[in-house]
Amino acid sequence: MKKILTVVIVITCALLVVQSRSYSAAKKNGTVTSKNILSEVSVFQLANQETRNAVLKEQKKIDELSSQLASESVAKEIATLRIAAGLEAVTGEGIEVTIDKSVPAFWIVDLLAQLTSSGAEVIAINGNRYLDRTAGLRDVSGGLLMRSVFLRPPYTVTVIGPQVELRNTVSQTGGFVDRIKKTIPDLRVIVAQRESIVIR
Amino acid sequence: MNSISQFKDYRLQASVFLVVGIIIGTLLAIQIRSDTVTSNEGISNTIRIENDLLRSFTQEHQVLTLQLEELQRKRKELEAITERNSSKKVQSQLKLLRQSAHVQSIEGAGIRITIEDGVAGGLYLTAADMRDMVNALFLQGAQGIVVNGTRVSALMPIRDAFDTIFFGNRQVSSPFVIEAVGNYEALLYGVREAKLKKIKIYAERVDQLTLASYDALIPFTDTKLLAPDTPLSL
Repeated sequence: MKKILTVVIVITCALLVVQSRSYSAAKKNGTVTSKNILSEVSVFQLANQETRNAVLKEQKKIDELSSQLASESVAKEIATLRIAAGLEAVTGEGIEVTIDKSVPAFWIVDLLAQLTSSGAEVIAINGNRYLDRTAGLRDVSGGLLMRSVFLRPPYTVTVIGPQVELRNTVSQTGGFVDRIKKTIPDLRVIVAQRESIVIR
Repeated sequence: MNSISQFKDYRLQASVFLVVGIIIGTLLAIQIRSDTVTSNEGISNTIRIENDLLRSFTQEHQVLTLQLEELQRKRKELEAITERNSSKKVQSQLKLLRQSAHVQSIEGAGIRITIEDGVAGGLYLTAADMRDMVNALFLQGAQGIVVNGTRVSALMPIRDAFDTIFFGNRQVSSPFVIEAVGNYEALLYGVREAKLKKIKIYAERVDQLTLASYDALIPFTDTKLLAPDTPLSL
């Protein structure tokens, strides 16, 4: 009798444990998957919106070129290329992100990725403009190497672009500041909005 | 005494049976009342929704991309006509500025890297991996980089979305073919330094590469020249 009782209790407990674990796994799976879909859908939506904006801009340029405004269009192209070439000082609103200690290069690459995804137009690190011909970051003893320029901490990343969007993206939960401070708790990171920034 | 201990035993057994019976009864009642769900129904619903969303966004993206490419082609034709009608000084300025900004097409020797991820249960490339690769190639002096035909700049956002990667607003899927103009040995060193996850990478030297020009520059909405009236000297 006691043996039968023992067997029944053991079976019942085993069933309870199995049921409880399968419920927890199903709940966790649902939560993680729906969170992933939302964040990835937003990337698609953003890309499609950017493409729509690009289509409108191209149409506008074509209209300008086709009309009496052709000479103004060439002047605009020259102004845009002068900014893109990085040979002259530029100005505009933006933010400054200051990191007080040396951090691995991949953190700066991560920060640049967040900034460019949020509308950054011009970026400089410790006063050195980040362009195709100066890009490339790696760790070296005591600091970072940006192509052939040695950068010593503290690192100041200066960005021209929409200051509110840039600040919000970098400072939000799960953003760059949140993630780096969880990994390096004693690191000091300051994000400051600026009405006027000059990058030479 | 025997009868008392037997009675206590009996009461203990009856209590245990009662409790076990209540538990089993409760479980049965919950089971009968709940909806029948197959073991993977939740997951298959999620996958179905994900696939539908992906299909709809991808179709929209393809239509918009074709429209954009057609407009870019028309714009370039009109720009060429406008430039030919401009003064020689303006034409020369535009040419030099395009070279300085690295926006023109580039030709030269370099490297071609092919990455086919997810093969035979292998790992998938992410946007972070691609950013590391682009960073490593620029660091080793790449004069220009193209991924699946899309010219990549240092300030181009590279983002994940489902199983594709977006370069700016261009969707790029596996297999990934990365071409870079520059010194082959240095670029190969950069590829090894990128330390991608365990994904097969094939790198080959190419004697003549032609990398397309940028489709369009970043629209500078918030940026202005500090001294726009200063004459340009290149």
